[in-house]
Amino acid sequence: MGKSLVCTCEDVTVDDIQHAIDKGFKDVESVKRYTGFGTGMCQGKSCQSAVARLLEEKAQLKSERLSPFTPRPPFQPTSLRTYASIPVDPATAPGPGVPPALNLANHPQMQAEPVPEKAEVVIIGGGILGLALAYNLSLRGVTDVVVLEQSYLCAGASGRNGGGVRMQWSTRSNVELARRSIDICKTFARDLGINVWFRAGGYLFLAPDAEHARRLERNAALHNSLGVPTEILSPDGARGVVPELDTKGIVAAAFNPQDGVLFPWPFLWGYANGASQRGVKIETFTRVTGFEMAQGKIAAVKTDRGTIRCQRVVNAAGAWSPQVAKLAGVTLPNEPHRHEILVTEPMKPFLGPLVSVLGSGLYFSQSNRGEIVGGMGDPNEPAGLEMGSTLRFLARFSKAILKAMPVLGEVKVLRQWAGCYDVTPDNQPILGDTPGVSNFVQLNGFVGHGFMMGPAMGERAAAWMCGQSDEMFSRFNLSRFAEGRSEREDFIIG
Amino acid sequence: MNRRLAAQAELFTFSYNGQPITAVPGDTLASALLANGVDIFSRSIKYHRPRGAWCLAGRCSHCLVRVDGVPDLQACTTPAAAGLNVTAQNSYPSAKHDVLAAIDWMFPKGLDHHAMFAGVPVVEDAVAKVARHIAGIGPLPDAARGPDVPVEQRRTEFAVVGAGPAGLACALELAKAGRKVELVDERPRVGGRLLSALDEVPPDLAWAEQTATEFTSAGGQLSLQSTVLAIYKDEQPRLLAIRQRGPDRLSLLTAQKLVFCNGAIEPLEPFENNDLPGVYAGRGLARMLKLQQVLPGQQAVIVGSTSEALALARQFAAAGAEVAAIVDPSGALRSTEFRLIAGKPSRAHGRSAVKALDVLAQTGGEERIGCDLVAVLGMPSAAIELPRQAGAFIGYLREAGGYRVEAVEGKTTAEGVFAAGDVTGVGSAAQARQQGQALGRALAALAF
Repeated sequence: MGKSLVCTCEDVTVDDIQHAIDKGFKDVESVKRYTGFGTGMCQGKSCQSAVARLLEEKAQLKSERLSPFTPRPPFQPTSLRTYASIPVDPATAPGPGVPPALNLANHPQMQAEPVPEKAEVVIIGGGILGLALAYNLSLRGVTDVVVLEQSYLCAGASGRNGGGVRMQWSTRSNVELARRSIDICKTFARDLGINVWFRAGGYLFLAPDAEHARRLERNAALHNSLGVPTEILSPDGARGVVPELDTKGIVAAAFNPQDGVLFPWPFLWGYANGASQRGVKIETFTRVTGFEMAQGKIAAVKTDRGTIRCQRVVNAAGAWSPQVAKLAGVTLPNEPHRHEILVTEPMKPFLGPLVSVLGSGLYFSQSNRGEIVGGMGDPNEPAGLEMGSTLRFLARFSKAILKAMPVLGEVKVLRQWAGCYDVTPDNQPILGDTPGVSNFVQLNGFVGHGFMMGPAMGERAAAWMCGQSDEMFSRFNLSRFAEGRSEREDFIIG
Repeated sequence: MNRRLAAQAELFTFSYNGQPITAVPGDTLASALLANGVDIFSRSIKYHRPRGAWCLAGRCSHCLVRVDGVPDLQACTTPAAAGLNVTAQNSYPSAKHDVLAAIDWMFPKGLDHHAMFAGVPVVEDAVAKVARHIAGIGPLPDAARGPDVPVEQRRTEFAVVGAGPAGLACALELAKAGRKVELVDERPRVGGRLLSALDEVPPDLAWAEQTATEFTSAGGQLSLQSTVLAIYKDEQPRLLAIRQRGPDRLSLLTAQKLVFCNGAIEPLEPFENNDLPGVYAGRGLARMLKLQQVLPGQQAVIVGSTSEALALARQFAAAGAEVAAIVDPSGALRSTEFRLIAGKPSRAHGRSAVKALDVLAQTGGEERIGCDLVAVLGMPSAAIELPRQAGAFIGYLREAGGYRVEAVEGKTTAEGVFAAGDVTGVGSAAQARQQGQALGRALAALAF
């Protein structure tokens, strides 16, 4: 009792806002993510100006730094059934999205003071890979590290994904990485003091035809050989796991009960906080503008807040990696591809696993807060750093999810958004040294599963940078494309 | 309890948690529940605090109920209809007596779910299980999907969003000039803020209705009960997805030019127990009083610093309620009719509905005022969501209510996107009409 509410949808109080400010969250987007204000049924309509006033008073934020969080469609919660009624032309490509992105140059949140003049390692990209690497380097005593993030933490794909973590992959290396990541999820709160709410509800893959069923069987055999208990189920068996499914048109399913879902944001804050406490500097709202090159090496990283002389640079910029590499004259084969996603009103728990229908790219799960979180890639999506939302996605997704689970017809969409997959030609990452620029490390190209691989990759990359040999960093080196050797991962969803 | 001002001949009933609720044509679920003395509709998501209606405008989530097996519908915008089965949400065993309200008492200072029991062996797993179990608001819908809704596609030269003083004035100028205009508003009636009748000087609701008639006579298309869900640019820029009622349908409207006159939203003003049933947004309460003739209390405290507070007090008095006090945070109001206290609310009291309000006077003392109704007239804040989607720059100006669309003579920073009225910074209804009219004339004169 005695609470003074700011956001009544999510029961966020004035004290909660103060607590977030005390924890160091001082821009509206970050305070929204930490406290949950504005993420409920009204999506911030009745609270955002009140929160802005509190930030102005309590965090002494100047008005130009109070830019509102990005308002996502729809303005009012609207049923999946409504959106499923919209015709979709399968021949056309998705158009540009809304809202248009803000210009990150001279961002109002940019700090006035310059970045450190020098550092041993500069990591470009404050997503899961960059932060997990920074934290793991700091555990190994490498603390003279600067992480550069062009926006707030969670602004890129690490803050935009659906939070799924699965061991069901088609290649051994991915199965093993994901298994290690799931182990890390389980101990994360103990090590870093923040809950990620990992829930092992499993992943249920549905195969619409014999060819996809054969792929599931092939994968299950690989998983079982590695100790992952993936089971092949009949359509009836799939309904045993999720009774609300309509399995008409489904021929087989695969289920691993050890896969699960979590909240992505605390992972970033946990790593960032753990690294900072050990001396790593995390510079948000800081853009890389170029490199100073000398003798085939990067001598310094130029940013809009000054230049950092350094010994080693890591490109962990996800979908922005090709742009970053280009500044050093390096051409990466990655391409950014938008993937759209949405969240519904929060419901009482009913759905255990993340469900994915192969072939369509549809996936959906129920978060610990009760929302359905789901997405679906569009085969016609052109390459590009577009992160706005389309009506076409709502129509395609709603049709597909209602085919799989008709009882969701009156469930309402609260918010839609998008992020970019960082897509490589063989769906495998680009790791290790860069041919021609010897102190430039690549840690990118994770094709929409960087979040789930990040915790494990962060450990391996730190060990490798500290001198341990690791065959992954040569096997998945950029040189493989020129040398014509690759090992394709064909189990990408979304 | 009689909270309905005038007797109505035509009555019907629906059920709320098995109890019959008497309603009249024009009622929303919220107005009917309040008229029948039901103040607690459901419980809040985390602390299971009692919740009834608050904004009465479809902008918050206080009044969510389950209707005929569909979760999370806003009682304040859902029309009442005979035979509906309305039930409370997120409450065990009932909205009035909810055992999970213990969470509210266990965490008097709030809980940080990020740090809560983080890393404590065994406990963290147990907490995660409990947290999942009690998450969410309502269970799944009872039934599978219904049929598709009809989807209409059309084009217009101008889409004007919001039929308040700015939108009506702007749309009329455009229609009179022979432009193709569609004026869209989510309520069943035009008028916007004029429906609350709290402005001292014209325009009033009669003007709004007259203007709407002139607008349609001049060839304008008026779409009421039409909620703009988003401004997309899938194939064309300025594609409006509009959800319409009566009958239910979805319209996809492509507009060459877009004018936002969609007003402002009443914000929750922070004080202790500001979410207690019986505490309402003042403009919403005034609108319900006007449209549904329902006043859910007899002894009112009004919080506000503008002439709107005095106007609302007069409305309450005319409706037979006692105005215990007007609490004026600015201290600038003057009145011989009502008791004024220069100060601000600090705490509302009451277990399930408000019984008193503590006021911290500017002179330093604290006073407890008995009441069963608190109407808060905070500074509304511009409805920036849709303009931002359309690309308009949003600035922050505390004196104008917080966020607002930055517009110069109605032009926003986005191509083909214009704005007038409260959405550009809250002012008077007269200013909004004047801005809308000037913008309408300027746009009508342009050759595109």
